[in-house]
Amino acid sequence: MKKIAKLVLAITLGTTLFSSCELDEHLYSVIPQDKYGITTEEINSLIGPAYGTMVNYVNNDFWMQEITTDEYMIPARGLDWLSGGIHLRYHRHEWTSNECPNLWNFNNVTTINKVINMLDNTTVELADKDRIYAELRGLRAFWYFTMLDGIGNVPIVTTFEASLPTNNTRKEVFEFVEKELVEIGEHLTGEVTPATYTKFTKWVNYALLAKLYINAEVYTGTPQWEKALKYCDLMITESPYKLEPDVRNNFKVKNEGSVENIWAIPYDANYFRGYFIPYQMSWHYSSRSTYNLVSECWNGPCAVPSFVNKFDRDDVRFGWFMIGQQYDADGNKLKDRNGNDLNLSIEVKDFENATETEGARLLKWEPEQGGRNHLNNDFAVFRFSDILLMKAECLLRISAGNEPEARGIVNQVRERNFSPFTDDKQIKRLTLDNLLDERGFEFVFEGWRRNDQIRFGTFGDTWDFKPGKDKNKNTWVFPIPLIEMDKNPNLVQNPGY
Amino acid sequence: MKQMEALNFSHQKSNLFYRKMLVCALGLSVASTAFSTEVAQEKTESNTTVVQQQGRLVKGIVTNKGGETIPGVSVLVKGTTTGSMTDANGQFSLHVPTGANTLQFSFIGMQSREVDIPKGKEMKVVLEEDMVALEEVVAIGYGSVSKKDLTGSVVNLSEKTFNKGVVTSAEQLISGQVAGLVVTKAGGDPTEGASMRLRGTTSLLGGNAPLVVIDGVPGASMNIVSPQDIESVSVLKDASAAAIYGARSANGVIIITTKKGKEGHSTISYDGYFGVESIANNLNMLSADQWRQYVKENNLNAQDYGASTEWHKAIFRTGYSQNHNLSLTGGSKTTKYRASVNYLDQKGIVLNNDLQRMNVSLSLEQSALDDKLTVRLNANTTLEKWNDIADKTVYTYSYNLNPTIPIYDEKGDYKEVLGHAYYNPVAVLNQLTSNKKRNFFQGRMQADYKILPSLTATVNGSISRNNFLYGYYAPKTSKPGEAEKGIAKRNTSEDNSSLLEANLTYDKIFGKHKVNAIVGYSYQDFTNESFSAQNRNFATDLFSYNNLGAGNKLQPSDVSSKKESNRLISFYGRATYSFNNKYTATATVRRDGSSRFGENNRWGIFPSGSLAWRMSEEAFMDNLSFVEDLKLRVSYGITGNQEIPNYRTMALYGTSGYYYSNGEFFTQYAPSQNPNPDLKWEQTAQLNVGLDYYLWGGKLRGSIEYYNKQTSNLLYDYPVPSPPYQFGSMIANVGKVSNKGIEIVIESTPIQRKEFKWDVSFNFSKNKNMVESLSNEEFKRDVVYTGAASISGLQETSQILKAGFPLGTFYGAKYIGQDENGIFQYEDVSGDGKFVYADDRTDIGCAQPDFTINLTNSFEYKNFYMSFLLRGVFGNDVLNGSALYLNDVSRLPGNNILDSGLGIAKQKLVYSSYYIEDGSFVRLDNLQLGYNFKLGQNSKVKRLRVYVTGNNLFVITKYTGIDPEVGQDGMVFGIDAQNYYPKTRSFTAGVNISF
Repeated sequence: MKKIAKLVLAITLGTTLFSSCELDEHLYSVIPQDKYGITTEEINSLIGPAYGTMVNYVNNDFWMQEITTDEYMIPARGLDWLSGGIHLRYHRHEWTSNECPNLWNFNNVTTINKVINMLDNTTVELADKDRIYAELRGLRAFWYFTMLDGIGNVPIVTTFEASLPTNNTRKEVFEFVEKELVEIGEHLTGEVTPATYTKFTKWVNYALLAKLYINAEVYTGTPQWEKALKYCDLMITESPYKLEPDVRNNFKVKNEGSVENIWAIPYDANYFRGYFIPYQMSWHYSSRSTYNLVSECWNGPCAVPSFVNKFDRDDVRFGWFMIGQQYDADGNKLKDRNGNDLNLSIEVKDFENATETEGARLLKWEPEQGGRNHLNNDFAVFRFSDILLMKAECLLRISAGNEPEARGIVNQVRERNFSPFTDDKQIKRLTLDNLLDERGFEFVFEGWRRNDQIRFGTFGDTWDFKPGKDKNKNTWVFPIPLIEMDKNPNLVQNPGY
Repeated sequence: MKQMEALNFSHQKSNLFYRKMLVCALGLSVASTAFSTEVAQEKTESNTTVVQQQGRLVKGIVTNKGGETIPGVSVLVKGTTTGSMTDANGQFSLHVPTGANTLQFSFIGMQSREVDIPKGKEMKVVLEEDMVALEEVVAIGYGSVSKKDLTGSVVNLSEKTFNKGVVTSAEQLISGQVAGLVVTKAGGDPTEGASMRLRGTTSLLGGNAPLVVIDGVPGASMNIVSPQDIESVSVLKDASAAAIYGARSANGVIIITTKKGKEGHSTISYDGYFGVESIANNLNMLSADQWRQYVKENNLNAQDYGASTEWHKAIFRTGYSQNHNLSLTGGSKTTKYRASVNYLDQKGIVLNNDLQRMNVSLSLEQSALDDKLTVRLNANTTLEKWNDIADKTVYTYSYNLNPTIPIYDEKGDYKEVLGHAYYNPVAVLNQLTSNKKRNFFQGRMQADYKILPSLTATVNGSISRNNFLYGYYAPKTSKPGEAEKGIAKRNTSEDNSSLLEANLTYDKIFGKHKVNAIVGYSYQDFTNESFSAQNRNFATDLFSYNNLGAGNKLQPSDVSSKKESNRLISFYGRATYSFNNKYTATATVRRDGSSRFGENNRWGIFPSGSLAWRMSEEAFMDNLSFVEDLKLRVSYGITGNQEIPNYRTMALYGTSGYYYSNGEFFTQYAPSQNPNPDLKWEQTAQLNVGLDYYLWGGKLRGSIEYYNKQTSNLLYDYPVPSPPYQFGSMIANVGKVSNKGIEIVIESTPIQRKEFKWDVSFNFSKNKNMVESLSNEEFKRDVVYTGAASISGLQETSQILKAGFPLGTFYGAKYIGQDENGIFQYEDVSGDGKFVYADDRTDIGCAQPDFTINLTNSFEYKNFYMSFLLRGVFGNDVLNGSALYLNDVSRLPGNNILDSGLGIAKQKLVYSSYYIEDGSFVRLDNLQLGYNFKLGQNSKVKRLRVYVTGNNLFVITKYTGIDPEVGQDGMVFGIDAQNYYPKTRSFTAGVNISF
């Protein structure tokens, strides 16, 4: 009997000792960070997320900052898209720090910082470490640029120190982006091959510098048109980029071959999905049948009527709006939900209660037969036409005497959109006003409208469904989202919020 | 007339009552003797004696300890069948044969006595309370204890008190029977379980379900045993009772003990029922005619498809259920066995929704070495398969569709009309397949060895496995599958758990001192693995989901697999000391180590202590003779909650999408979370004060409890600044939640006559919940907006989580009336002269009830019996999301609306208190009527019973939606979310038979 008792106790004790050291987590489908990143292949998979951040460029907040402009809006259609009236408030510039487009893009910055930190500490010898570092810093500078443009005085953080950061001034952020871009220039590749497609090349660097300097007055109070002009000229003279003969080539499903797209985000319906789903958001439910889309359409956003009406009806770019009677893939008339012909109007009568057929819908990127909500079309952040129009703008702003040269460049961009490009389609006298319009025609829905309107000084004006002028320029930067203010007491809010 | 007298009598002399039911339940042979004696006496007047031909007349009176007389006491001459009963005054007279010198006195609920017949004088016999109820053995963690020795707050339920009718899971058995335990089954979907919450909501992230322990295996799934195989359910409510389960016990513990073999006759039993179910209540949507009238009156441009379809009725049917349970039990002194098979077949009220479940359970017990060694084996297997609702949005479709659309077009195909959330729901239900199968297995072995008579060593090991297999197919002919040309999915998972425990129990009585102690060790691990794959674009629908390879459009995220594990290692101990049956003290401690927590906080200690004082044993209570038992209990302890996902403390890389390089995409690896190595248990400190009473011979019995639960280190996803953190939030231990409440249980037997008995059980519970804090020095969360996604068209969330408010606080505009045009007006809370939704939201109600009341009544009349349970919840608010969404006339003509919507002017939709309704209700949860056949002593059939049951027979409520009892999902509750499976009403007929 005692033997059995001892046995029982022995088992008890044995299991105790055996098991008590067994409390470490066992991992199977995730990897601990200290056990990965020891071969070149592994390192590449870890650098991946830095470029992976670009998927976040066209996100929900990208569209939310678009609806603050004179180009794009999301009317309520009954209950659909009412969303508590937020879209109307954004359109009227009535956002608050509690409810605003969130351009606090630090998740991308910290991801890139993490990759840089990982590279700093790895023992793996990488063949072209300088170029990799330069690209990573370039990507980070791009994300800082988006925050410089959207919020302004964000903290500059490049490390992983535990302390809570404080704001830097908008000027300091400008200088940081400038310094980073200038410093990395020599390490970036100037090659344009399939291998460098979507990468942060020397040309992306120049384009971003041009964009940075052309907005210098907005960001720092001091204009730097000459520097912007310099980088536009470098692009024009040194880079292999040029205008596509047909502007629509830049928006095709397979647009990798565009000679105009300087920097593209390789959106893909399967592998690289952001919120680049313009058709799902905008098209009428029934329009799904036009292209036999796999995904439902939500019948939401449309273009601002006054903006659409500025377009020349002969301009190829007017085709970027879906208007009029709609048909299915077999050519049959589409119906709306009440059984009426689906005939989309440009006009919208009531922002707060639009009918399901009101408003011109987005049709800029080539739709794909049998496509999904996420597009396969790559999204160009910078296009060569932007370089040309920026050059024209710099020329015009530097001296009125440059108007003929600037006008020539603008007409060069316009020319391909008209057949024939008759005299009446040409700009006879280039002004900042018609240059801003031209930028609108060219870059509608590409995310630059707010930036352009601010630089041209029209962002606080009135337009369709925005009856009041902004009281001051406080609205020209978004607030630091309240949720971020709450988390970090060291942050100082932008004035007016 | 006679019954009337009995009633009066019962009011006057309230202490004298039978407790036949208790006796029946416990099967005391003494009682059956008494019963048969009564039966034998039935033909004569009960207070007359059976005339004997010779002998002498003995007279006497029977009283209780307090001197009150007891009528109906069986008086039997020892060794004969000669006997009598006491009359209404407790008196008896009996002719005893010569030579007889002892009388036996027995009475239900009293200790039987044998008394020598004195010569010449009248007998005065005092019977003492048996207090059977107090001797009831109650399962507690790692042991059992008699009810009178309990120091913690534990409620024990057995077959007698289980709910009746279509009860397909253990939680339904006890719904409404335990004060403080809320069991919610929101809808009638047989494939969905119920949720349980004990003494309020303590956790935001860590789960709120009590820990379930089945036959000693913690963390078991309720589904492994059929309700018919359950012997008893113990609910451990306070920290003293629950803390022995340490890190998993903060939400209380439910201990399920399955039926085991018994020494004695071998028995074969069959229980079976057949039930019919239908929808209990539905919404009043506009009929096609009403729709047409509205379209006409308002001159709307709308297409009339010519039919009159009640879409919200077309998706329902009459359901049925059948359940068959066959069990074999038996045993000798050394071997006991039980085997049972249970088969359940349930057809839900929604088209193509059904469930079949088979449980097989085996239990063997063998003792050896002169009863020193006992080995027990249990195996439970459950095989389930069910068809769930393949597209859970069907209810919304049925409310959206224009009622003039026919179900079938002229060709006999399903009619489909284009629109958002506008599929033909009948088609979706019939065309899509969502087939699930699950197998549970739990095998267990336990060996007890009595080292000394007072010292027992136990080793207990168990393994559990849960296999799940899922198949989904949306055919190319269906709307959901049309665009993809057929979508097929398969998904499988396997969860494994193993348990090894060893403990030593010491149990000894030294005179007036009673000691019981246990120390033990426990190791338990859990591993979860899963695999899933899907494909699209099939040439034919014939494969359904059975040939994924036949599809033509495999996408990168279509295949995935995952594996996780976690472990718990624990040491536990409990000591109970009791002096003179009067003072009892219990102390428990558990030290738990969990792999889920960081190295800094991997181990936690969960202590508890409790004291009980049986005041009724004190001399000063002797005068209060009606007080048979009065026990005051006080306990305090700390329990934990560790229900967070695995690996949250660690710095991990996970796959996170793809990166592009030279025309191809590659998998990228990225940090997946902010690691928090300081994560630890959420802990709940609970004070419990309880009073158990047992008065007037059990005529009035029950308990009163007060508790105060303070949960701290609340696990939740807290926002952190980025930078410096990579991600904007992380799980941390920060906030505090409190729950305070009282629970009152009153049980009574107001009438107990020979042929009629009435038992009442009443429980009342009140819980006050409060979020005390969501911040500490490091983390701060002012307010969390919760309850989203349920109200279409509104961005607003319906509830807030904020310090100073209870969970489930509704937050929105305050409705104050209508203007002359019927436009709703709302309060300008901010006082700026205008109503702006964002600024003028306020607290507009709370989903938590003020109190709940449950009332069970059971009656026995001759061989008939009847019982019913009324369940009442009072003072809770419900957001009538169905009305908010479906009252809006701007939905017309494309979408349908509620009848009530016609009375509301067309206006901008605002989430307001107009749609917050009083959700108080009283429900007749179940009513059973049965008949017990009286069977002769020599009958081969030992028991035969037939019954009919109705479930959810009526609801009394002011709530205007389908049903005020809506689901609770985590910390969000009280929302009638418009798209859900409605409750059912069922009628069942069943039979129990034993051989």
